[in-house]
Amino acid sequence: MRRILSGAFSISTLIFAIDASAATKHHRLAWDGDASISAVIGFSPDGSSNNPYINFGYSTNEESWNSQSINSTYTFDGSLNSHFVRLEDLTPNSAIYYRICDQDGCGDRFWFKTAPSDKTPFVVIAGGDTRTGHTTRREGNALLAKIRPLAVMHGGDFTNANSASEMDEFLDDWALTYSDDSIDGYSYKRIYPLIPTHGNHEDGNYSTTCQVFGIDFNGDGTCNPSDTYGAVQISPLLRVYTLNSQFQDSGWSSYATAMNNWLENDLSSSGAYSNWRFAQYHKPMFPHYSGKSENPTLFNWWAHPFYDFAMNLVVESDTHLTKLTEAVAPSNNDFSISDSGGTVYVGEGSWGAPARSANDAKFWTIDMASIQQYKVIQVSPEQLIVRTAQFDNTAHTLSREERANDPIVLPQNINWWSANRIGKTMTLAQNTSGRSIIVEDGNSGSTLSLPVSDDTFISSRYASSNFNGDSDGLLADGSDSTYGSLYSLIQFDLSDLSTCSAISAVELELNITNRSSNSYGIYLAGTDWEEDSATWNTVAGSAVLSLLATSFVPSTTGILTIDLTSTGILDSWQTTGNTGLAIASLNGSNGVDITSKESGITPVLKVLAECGGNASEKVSLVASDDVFISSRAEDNNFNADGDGLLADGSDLIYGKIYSLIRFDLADLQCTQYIDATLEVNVTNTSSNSYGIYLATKDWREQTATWDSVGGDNILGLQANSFTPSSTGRHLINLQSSGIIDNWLNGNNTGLIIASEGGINGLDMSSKESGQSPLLALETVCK
Amino acid sequence: MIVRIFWIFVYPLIAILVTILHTPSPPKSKQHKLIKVDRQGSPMAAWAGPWSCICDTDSGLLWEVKTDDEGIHDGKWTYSWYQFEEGIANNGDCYFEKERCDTEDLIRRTNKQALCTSTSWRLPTITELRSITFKQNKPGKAMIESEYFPKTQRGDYWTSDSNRPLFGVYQYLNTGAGAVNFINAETITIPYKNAAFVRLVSSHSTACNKNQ
Repeated sequence: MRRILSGAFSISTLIFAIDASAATKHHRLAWDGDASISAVIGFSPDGSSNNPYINFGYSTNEESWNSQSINSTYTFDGSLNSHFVRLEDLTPNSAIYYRICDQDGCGDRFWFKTAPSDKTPFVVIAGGDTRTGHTTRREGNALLAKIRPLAVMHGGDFTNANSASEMDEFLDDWALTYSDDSIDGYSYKRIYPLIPTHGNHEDGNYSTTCQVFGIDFNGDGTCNPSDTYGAVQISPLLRVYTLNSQFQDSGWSSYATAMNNWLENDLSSSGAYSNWRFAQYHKPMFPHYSGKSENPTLFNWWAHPFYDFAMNLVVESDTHLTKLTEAVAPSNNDFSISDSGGTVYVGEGSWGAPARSANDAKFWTIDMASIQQYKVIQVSPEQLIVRTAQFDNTAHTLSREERANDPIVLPQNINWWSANRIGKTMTLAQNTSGRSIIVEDGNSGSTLSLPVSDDTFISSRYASSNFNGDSDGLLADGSDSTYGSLYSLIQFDLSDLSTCSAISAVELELNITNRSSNSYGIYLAGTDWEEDSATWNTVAGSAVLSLLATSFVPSTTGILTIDLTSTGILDSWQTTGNTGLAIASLNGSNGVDITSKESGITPVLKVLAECGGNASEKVSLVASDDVFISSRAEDNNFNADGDGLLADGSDLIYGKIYSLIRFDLADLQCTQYIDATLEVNVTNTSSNSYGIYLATKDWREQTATWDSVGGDNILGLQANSFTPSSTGRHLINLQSSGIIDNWLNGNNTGLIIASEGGINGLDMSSKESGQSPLLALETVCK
Repeated sequence: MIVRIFWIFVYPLIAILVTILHTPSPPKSKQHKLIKVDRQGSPMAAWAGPWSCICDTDSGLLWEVKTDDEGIHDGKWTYSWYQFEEGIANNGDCYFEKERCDTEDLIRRTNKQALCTSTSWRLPTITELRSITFKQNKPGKAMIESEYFPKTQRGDYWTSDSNRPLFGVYQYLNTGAGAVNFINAETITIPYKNAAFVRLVSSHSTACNKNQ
């Protein structure tokens, strides 16, 4: 039984000691139970601190506070002493103000909030691997203070050596997570509760989370390995499961059995009473870095209960990179994508520890990257919004009042990572079984890519010259030796927005071909212009720079995305006239080159909006033709073969085998699409990777042979690849490949599935042998 | 009689003495192709140390040797691929740059340092980097002769080969750079923004030419 300290007593008579300073440091706060009514306050002596205790209350009026003695003291690694006070029977959704006191008086003022007892939304942060990379660790900590989450999930590997000295440094740096507040004239520090996980760098001491953070999941009042797993209830909205992946190592099987039995029992008995269920543990089941081994034991332990009991979000660590996955379900020894509802896995721990190469994508991976990050998650009854925060100092700081007014508001200018297809926000809803569904643009609005109608540059030294279609593209410079001042002018065709409302994001994409370290401004163009007549003189020179919307530094080549959402520039174009924008140097004479619509990749304006006239429609097409061809039976046609569709790098009988699949798009009502997915039914798995290629020539299933399609020459542009490591349905994204555009533009030659190497063949069902390949298209009617 | 005595007693004695006194020289092994080079560019014996570079006498290439001293050559630092204004700057992790790190940072620093007296350090080509892979290393170790190349990580090492098409989950990024994965000695293409390891090479070093 957890020891509950009674003996809280009024201390109004002890106030005389308060304004001296207690000899304590390394203040931390943890949750290991019902977060709406309990918390564990931890601290360490800073010199000689005799009989420390805590004074706390629900207002800043310290005369009304109560006092409570420490209820446990632990020594970590022989020298890091920590005292812990377990507060219980607290009032939910309340600010708790406290100070640590000892013989010298009372120290700094801290405050935190208990979790709500209702379904009020909140923000949690989830990350891991703070063990090295102290500079970035500190940047992440400082960003946390700006975000003001309700709680923090830490996925383990707090330090490298798990030594007292390194933990001392970790706790020094943790002080950067405190937010500074002035409340009723007093200086307070907002402190955030941590829910810690045991990582492999804590393996030398399985009581680390107990000895350092006071975690006592099993409530026995002592530190032992059973404290490394348990559940935290954060309001009726969320139950967070912390698990110990290190129990898979030899010698821990009895603990593993106890943990996994507890997990299934708790999920069964308590999981469904929360809107959402999260899990955190250290080692990923399937790391996204080839230097890390897969952990099939963890998959076998947890993947099925996670799916069966609707675990919504799993946060993994250890690999030092970021990833987002599809909603997945276990299938044999792997996951399969489950669009109808599953578990989403995110991670993988890079809160300081040097990022590693994100080089091992799975077919159910949405995107991944080598960045320093943690997840920022807005939790509300209807949805989770998951973002990945990168660490820098650009974010604004949220004030105490802003957080109080809106429990899920986030500071502006956080450097969010943008995932392919998903963008900066992954929104999760639930199916009727409580499993996660990824809500994409098609469900909550559409991202429209607005085309450039006009783009050119103007030159102060060639004030009468028009540079439309110039091979240099678009130029901007403060003072170029040839052109003088250079401005780029860009205007977009906004006609597609005529039926849109609720514009929620506006982004400008520029392809930088010559970078600059100078800052450039994006201005609302003050005068009307057209690309084939615009000159310095016709736009009245610098008068074209009307209002500065935002600025950017084109420090690298490639696609640069500039957020224009909050600038109001699009509103201005829609209400007072579409004059476009001008790009001009804010300082210096280090010019920037951008490709124009005539010289290369065109500038793009991406707008996320609800568009009434552009309702999306999901269409699922069965294959009109499917067949395989064989290099050893080069004249044979295998249409409707009993084996279905085969592919192999080198088969004993057939030699090289390609599967050919074609979909008839002639009856499509709407030819603009926002999502395209190929679905194949795998009947014989392969560990090899298979590529999806555009077919270079037309063919039909009744006549296609190796020779008739030109053998290897049939393989055109590669659209994607997948590893059919499990039987059943495999979904392969084709949206970003451009292959569908080719088909819609009249070159509907279908696609080829061919081995990317290896001789472990792949069998799929054909439309004649069982289940036809499917093309799922989400189309938009203009 | 004298002749008989010679054949019976003296000749065997002489033969035994010759056998004892003449020890044949051991067969001379082919010199190993890798030679350690110290920070000043001087070759070192195989058992000597510390060394900062390795000369591959087969290729004539001088290779950077990694360390674990948190200096610029530390083996755990990662870098995004960036050079000649191509790629993504500052997306790897090292501690020696104010911003995060890219390949150009390590090249600039190493040339400034004139490591092993060379100032022509650069990223290796795929072919060059594959030439030092070593598949016979112990299981679980990076596929390189780790006695000569300590602190080599089991992971991706950048090459100079850029503008290569990306596939799969990274196809939307269009192109990236080649890397050699020292887990399996295979070549892969990864996005410029990936944080991968780097081992620099110099093809015109006096240090390596001295050894040939």
